[in-house]
Amino acid sequence: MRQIWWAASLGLIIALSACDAVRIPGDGRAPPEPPPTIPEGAPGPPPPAEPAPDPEGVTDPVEPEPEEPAPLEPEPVEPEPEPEPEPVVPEPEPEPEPEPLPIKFQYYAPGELISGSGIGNRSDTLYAPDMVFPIKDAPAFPQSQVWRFGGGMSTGGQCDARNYEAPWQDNFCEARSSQKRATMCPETRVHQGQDIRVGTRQGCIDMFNVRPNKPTLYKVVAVEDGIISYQGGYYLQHKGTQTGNIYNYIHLNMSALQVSVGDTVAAGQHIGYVSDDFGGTPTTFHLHFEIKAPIEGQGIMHVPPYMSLVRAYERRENGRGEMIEPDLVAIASVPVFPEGFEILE
Amino acid sequence: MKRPARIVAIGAVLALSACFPRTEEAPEGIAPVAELTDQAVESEAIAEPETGPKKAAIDWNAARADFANQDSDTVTTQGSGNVAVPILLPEIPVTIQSDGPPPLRFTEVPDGYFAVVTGEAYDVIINGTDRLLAAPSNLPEIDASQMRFEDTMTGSQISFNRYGASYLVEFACKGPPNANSCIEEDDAKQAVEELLLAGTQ
Repeated sequence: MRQIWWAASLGLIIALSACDAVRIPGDGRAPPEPPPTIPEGAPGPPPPAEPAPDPEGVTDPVEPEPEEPAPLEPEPVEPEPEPEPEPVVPEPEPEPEPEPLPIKFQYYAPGELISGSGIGNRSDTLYAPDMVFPIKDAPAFPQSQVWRFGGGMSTGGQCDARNYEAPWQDNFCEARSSQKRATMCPETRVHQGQDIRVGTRQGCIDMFNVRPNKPTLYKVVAVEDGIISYQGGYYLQHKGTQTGNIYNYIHLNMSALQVSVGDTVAAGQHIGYVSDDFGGTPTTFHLHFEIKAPIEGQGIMHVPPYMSLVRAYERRENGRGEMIEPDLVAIASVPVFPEGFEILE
Repeated sequence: MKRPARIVAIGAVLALSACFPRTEEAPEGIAPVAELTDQAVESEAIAEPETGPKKAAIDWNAARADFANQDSDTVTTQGSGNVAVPILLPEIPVTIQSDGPPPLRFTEVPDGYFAVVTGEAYDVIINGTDRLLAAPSNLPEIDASQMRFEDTMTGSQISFNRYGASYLVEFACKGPPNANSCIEEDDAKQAVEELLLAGTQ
């Protein structure tokens, strides 16, 4: 109650301070005269301007107090139309990681030759990146024919089961007794291609048992579109028309070739069979595969086929190869051949 | 009513200011420099060595000049006139056609040609190509115009470059393989030196 009284007194004082004069009834003073009428056009301060129209169209009946000017309002902004709500697109599910292809074979690194069989070329360059694997569908085991079982520098027979279980192994640049050179090999007297053992142990025995006839068990196919350019005594040569490479397929069954010189062949086309032809004395059953390619500033030369074969086999098998480390650290060294010892292969 | 309108206006101003690009907009189709750098680094990290073949630049003027100055009229012109490389062939004596295989079989291919010349002790296979694969960095630089002789599993071969093209002359030995080739290095080089131009563009 006391607070109300104080508030009322304060309000009264403020209201009175706004007055020009205060008349108390009964004080005997005459009432104040009304202010003089100012004729139109008389000098004096200009009349107050017309109040700005209410932006919202609502006339304010109360004159704004001069001490408290109305706060400046921003220019009226036409409110932007509410954007159409975007259709709710369900968050696309992340692409599932493709299943890794199954491991179909194991291989040693390029240039990792059998210990003591020479010094390899460790390049993983693909000189025939799109080629078809030269064996149509049989299992294949690129490996040395001289340093593995049944070879001249080893023991046992060529049909030894261990030859058909071994991881792949490079033998480009493997040591040879004769003067065969390849610019891409660190040493002279080298093997200029990749030997590929084919099939199974039983297949090897079967091929052996058809002698003196030659086997027609495992098909060899053209690795690239091209032309059969030459037939030698124990090999076919094929000029690739996509890459310009020259391919040699050596030790085919020359009595059962499926193509003739001058024939145009397609990649994957059957051209012959794996055998052991070597112009007289047979070798082991295998395909010796060579690539010759034009190298800038060097000329046309033998190049390592190993990694091109790895990739081609992966495509053929719709799987992948697993590169593995050898159990023993290979010693890259050049063997010393006994006097008079010759490796023609 | 006024307060919400004021808030909307301020929000719109802020929103518009956020729409202004902080940097000058790049022309359409050109990635901003920063992005380009990132992409370059990334692609460099996954770049594989170039292995695809490229085409050699052939010095046709030199080939035509040699062809015009050649001191022989017995070499038979071969090819369609559009073979990708100058054609080098041995001089083949003209013979009466017999039942045997022709002494020279010429085949044009997209990158050049190959030809087979039948002989007694060996056949000669000549390949010419305009394709080139990048050389591995560890190969020593050589004078590729010089002949390089190698024994092979099928005989011997000589490679060399001329007019910008790459050539390989193989001597395919007949008969069983032997520790020694059926042709000596000097004889092989002599045979290659005697090759003649049998066609240019």
